[in-house]
Amino acid sequence: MKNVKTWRWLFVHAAIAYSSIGIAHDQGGTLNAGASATDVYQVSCFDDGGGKPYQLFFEIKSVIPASPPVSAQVINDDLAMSTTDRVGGDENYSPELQVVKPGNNDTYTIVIDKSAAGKASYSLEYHCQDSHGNHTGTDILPLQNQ
Amino acid sequence: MTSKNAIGATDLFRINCGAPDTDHLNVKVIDTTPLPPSAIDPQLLHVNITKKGYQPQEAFAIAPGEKTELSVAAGKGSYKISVDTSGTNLDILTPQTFSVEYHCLNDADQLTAPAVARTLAKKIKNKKTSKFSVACGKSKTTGETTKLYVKFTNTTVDPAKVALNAQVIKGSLATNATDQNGDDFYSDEVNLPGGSGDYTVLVDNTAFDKSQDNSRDYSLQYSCRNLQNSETATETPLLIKQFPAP
Repeated sequence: MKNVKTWRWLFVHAAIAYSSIGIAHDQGGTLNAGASATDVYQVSCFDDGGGKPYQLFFEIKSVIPASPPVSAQVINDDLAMSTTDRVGGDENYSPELQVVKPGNNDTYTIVIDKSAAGKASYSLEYHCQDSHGNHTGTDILPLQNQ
Repeated sequence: MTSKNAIGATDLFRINCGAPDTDHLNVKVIDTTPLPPSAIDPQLLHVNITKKGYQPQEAFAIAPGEKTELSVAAGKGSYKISVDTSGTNLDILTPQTFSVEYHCLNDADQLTAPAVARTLAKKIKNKKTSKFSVACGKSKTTGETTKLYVKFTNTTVDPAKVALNAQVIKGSLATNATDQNGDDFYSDEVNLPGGSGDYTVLVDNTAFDKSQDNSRDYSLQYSCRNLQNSETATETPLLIKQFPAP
């Protein structure tokens, strides 16, 4: 009986811990060797029952060693921010940013580009959050792939 | 224009192309931020283009972020390109990277074969030589190649330098131009074929060190153009917002 209670306790606390961490969204992609190569995505934030969207969190990682610095810009209406991963192939992401734009069923445009010619691959981490930093509904739609 | 001193600083502009026959917005950008003097000699590349029986063309001392244009009027066939690190600072052991954008052209500067510009990206270590060939042919529509045009760029990333980027966005389309600080040249020009209407232009940079002054002085050149690449009605860019706000 004691073992069942112990397992139940562990399961409940694991579930609480998992929901606190939230679900990170990762989008991988590759930019071709052309200097102007650019990928475009649309991210939609919505209330999935966990709270109203308040902001979009994002950061980007360049995957190929010695590739050009990779940047991500996020735009929502008149607000835009940019972040760059200068060193490809290490474990570090770019500085993380949050674009604050409260509103349900809101969409953000994300543009991925690089600072020189040469092929680059990236991993974009993004998620919609409520005002407490908790995950809310997040969808992504690729619009342009170069 | 000067962007804010912050990691992630981004200026957002709107440019309206009002003429109904607008095909694309053409944009290029230049970083005019004064560069502090460097006590370290830069890494350098040397490029040489040859074709048997013709005068070779070469350029020396191409530093990171710099580009050069070369043209060899030797018709169709195989052109040999050789890149080495002559004159480079041998104390810097980082391999350099470079890109070669080549166009096979006729007398009217039209692309022949291949029908599009091609870009090769390569890496080279100190004291090594990279040799490769590109081939130009005859096009069924634009005729014989008369010359090879090459845009050679030393794409080595100098970790201490901040690059300036400009994105042009309309609907689901976007493109990007980059200028490395420290020369008097604009970025490559980019064209976004979004037709008439409002284009969004972002100007941002790769700043990484909070202890440095990351504000960038820059200038944008822009024009709305039709299918014939002639300028159409182009409004002055409207600065919508700077991030971070004052």
